Amino acid sequence: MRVLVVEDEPDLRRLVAEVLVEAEYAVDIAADGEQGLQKALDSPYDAIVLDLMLPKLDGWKVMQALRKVKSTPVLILSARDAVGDRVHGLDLGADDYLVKPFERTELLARLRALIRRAAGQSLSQLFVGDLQIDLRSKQVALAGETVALTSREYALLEYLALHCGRVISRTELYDHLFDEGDNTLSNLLDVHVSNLRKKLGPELIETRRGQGYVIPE
Amino acid sequence: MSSPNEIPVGNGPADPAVPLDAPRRSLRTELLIGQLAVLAIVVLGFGGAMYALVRQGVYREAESDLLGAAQSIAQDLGHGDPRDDLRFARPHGHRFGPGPRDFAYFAIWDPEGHQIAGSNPLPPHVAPLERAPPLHGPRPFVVLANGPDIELIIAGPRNEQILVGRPLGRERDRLWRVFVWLCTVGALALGVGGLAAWWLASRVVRPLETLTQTAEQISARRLDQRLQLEPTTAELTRLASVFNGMLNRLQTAFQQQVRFTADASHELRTPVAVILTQAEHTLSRSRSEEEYRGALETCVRAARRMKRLVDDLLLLARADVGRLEIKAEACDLADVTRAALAWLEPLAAERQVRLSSQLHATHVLCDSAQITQVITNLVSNAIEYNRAGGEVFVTVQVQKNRAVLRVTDSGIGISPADQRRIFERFFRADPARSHRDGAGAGLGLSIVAEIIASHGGTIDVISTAEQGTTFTVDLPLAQSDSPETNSTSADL
Repeated sequence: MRVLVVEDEPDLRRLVAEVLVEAEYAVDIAADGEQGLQKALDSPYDAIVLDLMLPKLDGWKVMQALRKVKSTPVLILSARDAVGDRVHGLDLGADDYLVKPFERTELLARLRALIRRAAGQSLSQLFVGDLQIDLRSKQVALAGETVALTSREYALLEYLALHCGRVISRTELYDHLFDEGDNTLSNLLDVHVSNLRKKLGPELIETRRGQGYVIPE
Repeated sequence: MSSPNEIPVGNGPADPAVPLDAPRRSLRTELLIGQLAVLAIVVLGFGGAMYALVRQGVYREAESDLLGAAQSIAQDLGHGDPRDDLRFARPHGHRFGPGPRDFAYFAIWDPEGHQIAGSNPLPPHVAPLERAPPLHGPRPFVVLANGPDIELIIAGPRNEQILVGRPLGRERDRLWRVFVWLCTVGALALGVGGLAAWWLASRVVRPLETLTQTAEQISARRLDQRLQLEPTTAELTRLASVFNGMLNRLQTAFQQQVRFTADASHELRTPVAVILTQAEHTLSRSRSEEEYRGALETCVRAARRMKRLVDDLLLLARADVGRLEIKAEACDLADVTRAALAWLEPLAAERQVRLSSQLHATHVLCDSAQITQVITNLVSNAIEYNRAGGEVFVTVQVQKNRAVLRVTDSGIGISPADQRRIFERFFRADPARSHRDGAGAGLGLSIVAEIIASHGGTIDVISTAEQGTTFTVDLPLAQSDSPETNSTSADL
């Protein structure tokens, strides 16, 4: 899952990014509204964490411009706690609103819920055949037995399972699993897919030649 | 009838100070009592005067009747010797009244004082005068009041004394009727006047009660309410408009306070978020020593920011209640400025801004710590809002018997719209700079303005966009100061 953090306070920007990276998100950062909007329009993020009081272009304007083009889930993270600000933010198309200072676990839970809902899922557990994926603890169990996965393997499996039944192109997978700082080798994806097949059985992920990968419903 | 100025008496002389909330007579009662008192005085005066006039008229009438009777007796005497069958003429008898209580009597004495004729019976007190009554003049008779009787004595044709007297029963009855009639009319007038006064007082008081009720509904949470008053009188309309004006100012002040509190908490939220998130994040699993060090450094940075903000807020709060303490001491503004500039030199170097100054000895009475803060805020702003290779020029000198400090920069300038607002709390012309290192929360210039004001000085700003800005601080000179010529010029 790839997330964009738009925050002008340097310490907080770095911190939110670190927290998200440790929660195994691919994270991009932007220090002002203009840069944030540019990145949000350029890349397919799974979610955007957006501050409101931003230099150059404030959070509301970013929301307005973004919603004309994209429906990427947006979590507003702001020190402005007035009801009017929240209502305005949500009315402009934001999906959630969290007031600073915030609890780290709450930020992560809200972000998970946002991404899940955007993919059409309302539960925090996914079931594919006898495979069970817990989005909260990032645990995977096959027929009741826990399977150990690396964070990249898990991210790949989670993304495919969340969009179960849809063929996901290799480019899309790259976009959502790696942040802009990653210099990934083109065959890294194949390595992760083959590892997953070894651990979870060969039939789970199907390859559609020239199109991408899919977990059939 | 109680006087309108009468103050309700307490339980004795023990409570001289009546507390404000002690129930007092209502305005309606006050007005009523006042108006009734005036009316009562008028009625009493008018009635009294009328009664006196009527009484005098009645007495004069009785006198003239007696005089008539006496003269007719005198006429009879003139015709011959006193006779035993001397009587009052019939018309007089009628006028005096028919009843026994109206019994009129007369007596005639010769000049030696011997009675020569008289009614029978005569009241025992009847006696001749020692001096004969006057023969001429406007009142050629003597009137005696004897108990309920009135007696009149005139001189007869041969210097006899002729006395005619009678009780005043009929007259007293008439006067009594007049008195009752006057009392009735007076009471009626008072009653009607009282009703009118009540109506008038109610008319005066009703809009006041409406005002009070509306005012009671206005609370801190509903300051947007205003008094709506149908135009009654000039005074009440004015009261309402003055009250509404006060509410406007109160609402503005309240809104400013609310905004100030919101801004302050907003400014505090970000550093708190940094500390909380950093601590939680670092504690979520075990870290290397380097990571712990980095986390603590972040927390210290955020805590310092909070400390500065809290210090600034405290200073402003003290200034608001007029308790900004100034440890005023005689000092040279040039020295204070020089020290502050030396401290700011590294910042200027970092921003590639040339910091120069021309400082003349200028003696002022000031709190050097606070003035240092003023200079630091102004100069660091000038450096901050400058461009690389720009200049900041600071001068201190005496001008027109005032100490003048100028900070001129060649920076980006301040737009005319912003120039009016830069001294507002939490105002930032450019939010882009909000989180730059060293940039405050937008309180710097508010603090400068408060400190200067508490020193009895003024601050002005002149700015041209893309040309630069000049802040001019003007402080009173120390009293003993004479413009010195031994200027110390320094170029930092």
